[in-house]
Amino acid sequence: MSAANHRREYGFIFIWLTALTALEVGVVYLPIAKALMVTGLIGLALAKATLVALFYMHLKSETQIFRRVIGYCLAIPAVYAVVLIAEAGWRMLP
Amino acid sequence: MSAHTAPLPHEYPIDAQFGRATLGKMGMWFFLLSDAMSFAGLLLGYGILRGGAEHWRCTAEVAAKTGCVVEPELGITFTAGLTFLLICSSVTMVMSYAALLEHNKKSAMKWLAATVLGGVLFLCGQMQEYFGLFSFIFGHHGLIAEGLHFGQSHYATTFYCITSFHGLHVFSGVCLLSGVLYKMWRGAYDDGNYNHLEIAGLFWHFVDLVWILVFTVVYLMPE
Repeated sequence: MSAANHRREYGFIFIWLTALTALEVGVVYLPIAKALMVTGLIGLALAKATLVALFYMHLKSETQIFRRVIGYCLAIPAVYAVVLIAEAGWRMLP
Repeated sequence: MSAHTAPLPHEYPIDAQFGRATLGKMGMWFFLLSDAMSFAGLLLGYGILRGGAEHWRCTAEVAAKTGCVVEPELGITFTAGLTFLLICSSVTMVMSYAALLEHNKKSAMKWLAATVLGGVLFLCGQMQEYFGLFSFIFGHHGLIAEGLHFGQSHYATTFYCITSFHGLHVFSGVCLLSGVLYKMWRGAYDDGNYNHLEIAGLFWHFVDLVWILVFTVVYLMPE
């Protein structure tokens, strides 16, 4: 990819990040259910984080095994969070 | 004995597993993974405390029932501005990298200086948020003046722990990037070796990435 294409790509991702940030702030003020709001916020945050990791940290151009090493390690706390939420939910069962 | 000169990043022999990734780049990524675990621990602990609390922030209503000290809300608009500032600094960082790849030293230095400025402004924003250091501009005297003190509640303590731990990373990043900028000015990268800039850039993008998550979890999650 030429340098001009790289810059164009960085600018495009910047626009996406700005739009997603504005969307996140907007979601907070919507009259929707709390569970839906939380899911939306986490989804948007993860999308933004993924864009930064893939394009600005150039993970996209690394080898697949390198991406997997990073991805699987970062998935560990996410899986742990899901387990903790499920455990808390189970404790609240009557 | 001749001095050993490390190959330029694009001259590294291709590794079967890690391609042309230099040892420095791999080392930084592994460090970032460990740092991510630190932040994950803080955010998970925050989630556990907040999820298990009957009342997270002491509002006037809660204070009337329990007698706790009324605590201020966190400023979403101002912090959204800080988030945008960090995103902009991530863009300037990657533009600096692109400029150095093109051997355009002047442009690379300009973009890197803009990145350092973005980091400094973010830290100033945090000082304003905590202490109201720039209250003459924003008309707000800071969370401490409004009654949010470290140690008085889980809400206050977790807020200061997480945001100041991130702030420490921003400060470290500013110092690291300033060092790289100085070396660039002295001509250390005139041979086209962008390895150090790329590695410093990884740290800076990680700082931005973590703030995206911290902003969402600490500031935006509904009460």
